[in-house]
Amino acid sequence: MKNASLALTHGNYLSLSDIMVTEEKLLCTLTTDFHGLGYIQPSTRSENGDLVEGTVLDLPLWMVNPMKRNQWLEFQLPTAYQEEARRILCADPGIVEFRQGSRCRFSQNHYPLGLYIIPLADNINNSSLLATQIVKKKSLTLEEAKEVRSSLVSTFQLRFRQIMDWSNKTCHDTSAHDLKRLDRSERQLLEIGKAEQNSLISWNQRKKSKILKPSTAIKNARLMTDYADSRKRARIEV
Amino acid sequence: MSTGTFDPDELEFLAEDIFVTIIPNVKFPIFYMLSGDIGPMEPNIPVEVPLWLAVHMRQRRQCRLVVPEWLSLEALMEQKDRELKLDLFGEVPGPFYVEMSQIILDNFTEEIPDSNKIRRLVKDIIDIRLSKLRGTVGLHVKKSEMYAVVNNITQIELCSLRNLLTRGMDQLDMLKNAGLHNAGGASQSFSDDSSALEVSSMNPS
Repeated sequence: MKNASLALTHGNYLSLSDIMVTEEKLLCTLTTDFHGLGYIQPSTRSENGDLVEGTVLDLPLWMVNPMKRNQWLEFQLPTAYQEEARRILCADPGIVEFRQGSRCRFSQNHYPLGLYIIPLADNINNSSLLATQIVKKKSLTLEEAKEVRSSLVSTFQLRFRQIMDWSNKTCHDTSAHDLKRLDRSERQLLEIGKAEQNSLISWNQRKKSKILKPSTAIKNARLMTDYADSRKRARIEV
Repeated sequence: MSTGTFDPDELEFLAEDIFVTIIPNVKFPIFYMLSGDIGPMEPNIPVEVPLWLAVHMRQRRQCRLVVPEWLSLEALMEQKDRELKLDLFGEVPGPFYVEMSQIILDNFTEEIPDSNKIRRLVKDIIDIRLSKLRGTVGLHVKKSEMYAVVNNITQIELCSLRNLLTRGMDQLDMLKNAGLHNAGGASQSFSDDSSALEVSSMNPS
């Protein structure tokens, strides 16, 4: 589906945008030794080539997820979700640019990444005894996760109106600069909105009032299937 | 491009089933249709037919249309004034009034003297209603209400916003419920993951 939105892609194994979200890196601190994996972070490995406890390194989200579940590491909340960034978003969500390079490093995957991070929060009451005191300070508590969530919700609510208004403009005048500000999922929403708006406008102006003759339609459909068949055959023959 | 739900074109097709009154100038026996019988037609006797048949006969110069009352200049002016005064959506002449006016204005130019003015009025009314709709939706999302009751809205007006709104609400819902199921601990977050997998296998994209 071309205009897939976050609701369809999130957690979908085959979705490209979801793969890109889980590629985002988080700063992690290991809480266990890993034998023979020292080559991942050569600067801190022990003599026998192990990755030792306390090593700080960047790991992609898809790796953090299962490792966190097994209490093998603690991760640091990305700056885009920390309190300073939350206050910026609270002040005026409309002007924040969701892209790399801005001051708080808001990523283009702000919402989906947040969705992945929030469930990783520690419940303070039954958090593991394994984690040391220092590490625990860094990790995400349940209260903070709730704040991140409410910040995500209010940000989306306040930015939605803007997306809706932009989708109402005709196709060309949303400048590239405006687009850069949007999160990837917001951009998908914008495209959906524009497609709808354009279909209404072009109907109203009778731009596509030509109706195909049934014979032409059938001929076109046949051409398409023939083409697909020939490609399939070519692939098999190769 | 198809948007996945009702297109304006599809709605226009549905609108062609609405009955209008015509004055035929030819004689026809009863048409036996799946949806019911139409006719018989006698010259100069008004008869109710679906809009598509009226268009078909008009193109062969076999009838004249009795223009619906709501498509007159006065009625539309009144409707426009009403829309401007009300904060909510005002009553509309019918579920397919936009599509019908479009079809009628395209095909029955002789019956309607002020077709340009009428076309503009209909466009004005839609624009007023759409801006109301956008305002309501914006407020609805902003205040995160549980539901909204919208009366007197037609399909074609929803067309401009339907997918955007539903997908947006989906996303909002996901953000609101993020991490809610697995706040208890690791074991629950595991089961949560497996359910997410099931959902994703149901939605191949």
